Amino acid sequence: MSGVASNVQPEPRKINDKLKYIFVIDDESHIADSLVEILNGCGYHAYAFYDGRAAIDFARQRCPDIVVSDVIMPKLNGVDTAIMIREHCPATRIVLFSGQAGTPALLDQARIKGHNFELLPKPMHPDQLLKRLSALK
Amino acid sequence: MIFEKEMVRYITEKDQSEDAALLLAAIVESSDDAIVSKDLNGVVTSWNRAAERIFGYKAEEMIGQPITLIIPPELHGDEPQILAKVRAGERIDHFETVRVRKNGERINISLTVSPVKDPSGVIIGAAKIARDITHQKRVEAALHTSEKLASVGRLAATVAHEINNPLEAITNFIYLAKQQPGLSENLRRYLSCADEELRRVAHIARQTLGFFRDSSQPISFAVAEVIDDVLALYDRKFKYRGLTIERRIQPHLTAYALPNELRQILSNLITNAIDASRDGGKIIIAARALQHWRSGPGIRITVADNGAGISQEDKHQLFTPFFTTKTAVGTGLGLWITKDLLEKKGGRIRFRSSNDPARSGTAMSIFVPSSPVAVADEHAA
Repeated sequence: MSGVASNVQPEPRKINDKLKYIFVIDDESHIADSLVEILNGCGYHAYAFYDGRAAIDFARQRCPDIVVSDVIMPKLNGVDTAIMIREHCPATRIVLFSGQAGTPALLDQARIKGHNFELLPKPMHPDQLLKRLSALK
Repeated sequence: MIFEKEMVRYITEKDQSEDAALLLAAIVESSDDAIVSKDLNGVVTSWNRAAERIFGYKAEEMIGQPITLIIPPELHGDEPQILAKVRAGERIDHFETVRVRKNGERINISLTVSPVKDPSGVIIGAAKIARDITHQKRVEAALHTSEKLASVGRLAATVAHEINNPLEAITNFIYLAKQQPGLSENLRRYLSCADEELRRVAHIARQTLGFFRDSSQPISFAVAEVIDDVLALYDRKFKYRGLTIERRIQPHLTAYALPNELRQILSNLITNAIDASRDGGKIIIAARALQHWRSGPGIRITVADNGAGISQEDKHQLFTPFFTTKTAVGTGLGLWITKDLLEKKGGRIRFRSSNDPARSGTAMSIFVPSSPVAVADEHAA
């Protein structure tokens, strides 16, 4: 992908210079992989994970700056994954991503435990997602 | 002496049985249910006050007449069956059926029929007690309809959920495809169009999901977005009817409330405006912040059309459940639900309407109070 991004994109994309290292977690590999390609094309360093466990293990070695995670996943759901990553990496920005039922209920549970996570609706156009990510403080 | 005693006893017994008879008559007359008796040929022999009220016929009009007067033609076959049971000494308990009032109106009733015997035990007729259950039936029907709607809604939500992931994947791949170098003019154009159509599908999927997502927490949201969401749903309909939509929404208007409830309310008001409009008419949606003297800060949203307007008689019944002017398709529940949703949260609904041909139309205004600000902080950093 290197060399493609700069001469193809119509406008320069603003990325968050300080927050470059991104984990994308989604059990649907098409989504995780395509998102990673899009993010890398914009100057981020993105990595795809197809389940929460793998992402948590990696985070223990090195904290990502941003986590973009699906919520409804088999084995470990996105909310629990986020909570566990945050335990080890309190500074990581976490954005949850979902188009599925049951999400509000999970978020309520998280809220009870003291966690408030931003939730983006699927499907989200890459332009919008990039804008949201570059706006993270 | 004995003769006098006998006379006194005879008179006393007669008084007592007369008193008893008067008491029973009073009970029958004061009953809320229709109590009617007929002979074994189905000819009416008594008709109480409630029967006059429920069926619309006075006692003089019914006594001596066949009971079939109040039975709808297609149910006349019921009567011989009822009489047969009565002759056999059987009761019929709480049999739900339909009867016809004097004015032709059909009503649902629950009927109990019992045989009437003379002192020697011979069956001489039947006593019928009828309770008007029309209102109850309508409530059941509405519940059934709303359950059907709810299950259609759940189905739609399920479909919406299922397509969200594939939509996300396709959107991403088209985006990536567009970024490839050396695309022909045509290919770039096709991909752009595909991208646009996908955005439309995504929007529709989010709306369908949005109506049935269970969110009990009020959230802070942009009013313009919710209004646009609902307008987008009716886009085709507006075009088909040639309706012009004018948006007068105050910029940066946010509310702290339940967006799904607002969507439902707006959907109801806009549907009504569309139904009231003539082809080529205009619908105005306006929204602004307002400080209400009693309810505090909030948002006022107005949906106005230049259709025929609401008639004087209809104005009084507008928010009554089951009242509708669209007998083929109307449930008569939209405004009633809207008013209920609003008032439960301290809001209100008002309307102005005119059917003066020179300036006919209707404007429905709702006031949605904003809950006190209590926004959760979302990022730890």
